[in-house]
Amino acid sequence: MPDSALLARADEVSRRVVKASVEDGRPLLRVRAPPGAGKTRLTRQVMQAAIDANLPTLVVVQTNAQAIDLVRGMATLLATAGHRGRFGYWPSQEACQEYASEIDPLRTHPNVVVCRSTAEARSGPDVLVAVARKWAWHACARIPDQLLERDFDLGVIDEAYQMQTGELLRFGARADRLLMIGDPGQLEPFTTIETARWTGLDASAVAPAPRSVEARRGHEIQGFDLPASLRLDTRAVRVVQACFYPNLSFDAVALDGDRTLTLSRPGAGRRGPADRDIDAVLDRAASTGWGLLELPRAVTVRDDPEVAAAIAAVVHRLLEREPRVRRDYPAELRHGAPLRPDQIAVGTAHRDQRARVREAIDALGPQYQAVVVDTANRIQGREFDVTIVWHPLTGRVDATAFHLDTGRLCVLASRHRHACILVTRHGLRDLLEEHLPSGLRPRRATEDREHDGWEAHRRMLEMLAVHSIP
Amino acid sequence: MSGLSPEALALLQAEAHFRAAVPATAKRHLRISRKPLVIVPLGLAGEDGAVLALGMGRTREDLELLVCPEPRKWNLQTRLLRDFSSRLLRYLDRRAADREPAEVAPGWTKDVARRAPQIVAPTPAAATLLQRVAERMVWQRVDVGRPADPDMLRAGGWLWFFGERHELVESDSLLLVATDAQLLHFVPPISTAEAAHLLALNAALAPPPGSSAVAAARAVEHLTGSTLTTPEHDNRVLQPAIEAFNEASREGASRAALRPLGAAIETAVRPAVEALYAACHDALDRLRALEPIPPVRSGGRRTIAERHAFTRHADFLARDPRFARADSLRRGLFLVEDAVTEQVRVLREARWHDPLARAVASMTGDALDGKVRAVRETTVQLQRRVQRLELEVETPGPWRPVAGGQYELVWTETGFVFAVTHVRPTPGGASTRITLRSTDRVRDALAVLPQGLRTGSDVAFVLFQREFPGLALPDDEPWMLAGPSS
Repeated sequence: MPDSALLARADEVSRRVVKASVEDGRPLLRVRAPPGAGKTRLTRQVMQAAIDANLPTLVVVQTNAQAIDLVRGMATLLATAGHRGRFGYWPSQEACQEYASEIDPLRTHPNVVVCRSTAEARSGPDVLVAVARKWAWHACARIPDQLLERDFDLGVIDEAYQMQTGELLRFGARADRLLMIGDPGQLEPFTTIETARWTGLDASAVAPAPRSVEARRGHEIQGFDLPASLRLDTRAVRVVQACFYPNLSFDAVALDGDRTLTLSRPGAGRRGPADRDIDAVLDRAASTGWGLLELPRAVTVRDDPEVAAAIAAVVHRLLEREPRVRRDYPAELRHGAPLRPDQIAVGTAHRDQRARVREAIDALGPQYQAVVVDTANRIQGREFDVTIVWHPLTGRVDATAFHLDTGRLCVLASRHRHACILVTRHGLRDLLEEHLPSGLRPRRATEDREHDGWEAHRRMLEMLAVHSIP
Repeated sequence: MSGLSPEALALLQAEAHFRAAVPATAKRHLRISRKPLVIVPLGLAGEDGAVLALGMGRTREDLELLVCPEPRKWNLQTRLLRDFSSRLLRYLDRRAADREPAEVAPGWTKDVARRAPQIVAPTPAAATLLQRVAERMVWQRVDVGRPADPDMLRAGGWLWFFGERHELVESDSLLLVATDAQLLHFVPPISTAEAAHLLALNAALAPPPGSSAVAAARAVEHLTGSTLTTPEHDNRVLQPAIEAFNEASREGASRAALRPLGAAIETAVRPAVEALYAACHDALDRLRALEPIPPVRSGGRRTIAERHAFTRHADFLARDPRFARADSLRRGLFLVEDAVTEQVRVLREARWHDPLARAVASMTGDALDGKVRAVRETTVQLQRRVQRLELEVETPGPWRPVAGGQYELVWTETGFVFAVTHVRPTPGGASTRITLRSTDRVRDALAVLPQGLRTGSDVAFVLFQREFPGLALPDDEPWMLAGPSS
């Protein structure tokens, strides 16, 4: 049975956030949410309250995909409730091209106003949704036509920890009050240039926006922590919270026994040792929610074909054994249903590893094409029933700051609802022992992400050691 | 260019192992000035930013050597830094003063330096040492009665600029590092760690006849290859000489008595500086032999950007310049955006003009080379029905596009952007068929492209990344980010 007391507490926190931001008019609010806490649901609740109160609100999302999800979700919410209120969506040029088929139906939706130009945005509805890049552009455009000279009472930033301070620097002045909602443990904003000069500093243009705001206005921020994860169950939270969220305590709504993954076909005993290992790790994952498959120790190229083949074999064997998932929500799954291929995801650190795994899985047959394979950057925000993770340190000689990055492993290890299987090679713990973090930081850095990442990796391997096969 | 993918690097290194250096590019991607200012600094082990000796010059023949017998004594170090400052400023001031109008952004013409300067350092460690030296010069300890030396301040301010460019801007030609510049264009059969030694790298790239590349590199490894003299030379020659100098000055010896002791230190370091200086020129000559891509030639867009950045900094130094110990948010944003814009431009130009760079990029879906198999017009239903141009291209081997990516057609004109609608490997996997649809009106495309885009013609695409030129910086930090500066 789900922990309804915890759900009630989470709802109470959400209610207080909505009240503080929309009604009470508190100037600086920050909500920290663990993975799968329902951030976007909270954003929709705030938006609904703002629409009801006719409060000019600037809603910021990070990617076009997130914008479409939010707008469609909000539109459906309002339409099903028979609400008359309208809100605006201001898509970028790329969004109009890439997501044309999703955006066009919204243009005629009774609750949505899709803005096509700066003029329309200027005179548009009170509540306006756009991606951060778009807000930054129009707040600082040199061309007078494109400059959005409109101020808003409230600014709401969804996935705030994925937004660079630089963006906030540009459009921040447009909002009189600010509400930031985000997950502090996941990947930080991505840049292609060398940012060593600012690593670990309190406030810098490349730091996540909430960190800089905290550095400058820490005492004025009213913080809320969402206490529940709806995606991860207790077995997953035990590991994820301990490794990646030392400053944020949270629990799972799904208690022990609420989520099950059963493999209808048993492991066949007379197969080779490699196949037996795969069956064993699947059994382990099904019963405990975690599995760690360790291939023989070796130093290899980054897109190691052996690891890709092992991952494909795990996926293949998983589906061969007719897996069934059972959980309380949605109702269809209360009595169990077959695990669908599109609910299985493979997460990697690099694009070339993704390509290798994709090739290996596609070679299994057309029914495997629905299995999702993607990098941590792109899989952030999505969720699946079962995930298989290509451990970032696999086959490496050293452990650099990139691979030790705590956010990357956290994203990869927190996408699953039922089970997560990590695939790697023996010797990771030795690797970490041999490669202590360098401790190199720029002057005045207060944070040492490299060390934090090293600690997180060590802790995770320790906690998963009991689930390791062989 | 961020360089080769690990797979490509591994392949090329394997090939280089059996032969000699293998070219990683078909053309040159860096600007090489006719007479750049080559600076070879030598530091003291364990002392951050201390300069023991500094060789500088504009041609192979005139090397000026400045030596500081005891860099740990600030009064002696300042003598070297002052000499260095006057020479550096002489080179840079002349360039900064000579201006002409140029179009720095579409519709924006400004007076910028006619010729961009170029400083050449032997290795990344040398560039970092110059950055540390810049900090010492800019944040000089100021005593009562002894104000900051204005020339040293300005020269430090210049080094600061070059150091920052080197740190943030990819493929920067204002501060050229000899090892990195060569590694951008060649893959030697030695590891990247070994290639940080300039003499070893040069030897591996051009071994003497009769010697293998690896043997030639090994033969020179014992010499000074970067900013520090070798421990053996240190213990045997340099340290005793410095000790002798220190002891004599402690005992109050006269200038005349100290001179030969100082000369002994100079004799100890001269061979190392001369060897590195010559090696820098060898590297420049090797790079000059490559045909440059057009943007890197004098009038190219990238050089105008360099000239603009240089001029901006000259104007900054002419006002009352302040060098903060930590970047403000605005400055940080400015630096990041500048660097990102430059990087996008550099990658695009590299792939556009260099077929080898494009071939490497297509391994990760960042570019596409193939033959046109079909050209047709098609109608697409957006808000209304519009015409688009559709191309079917066949490329050898497997190919996968970057997720959500659009591709720009490599042509004499720019800006024909296509989206990939369909990717299908041919049976047997020998090649891949890709369908691309233009994102713009067909009318414009057909007006310019028809001659070349025919079935059977070669065609190339590079990944399209939208540039956001010239976004203004906000005047102040917004309220939620304003506060006491760190």
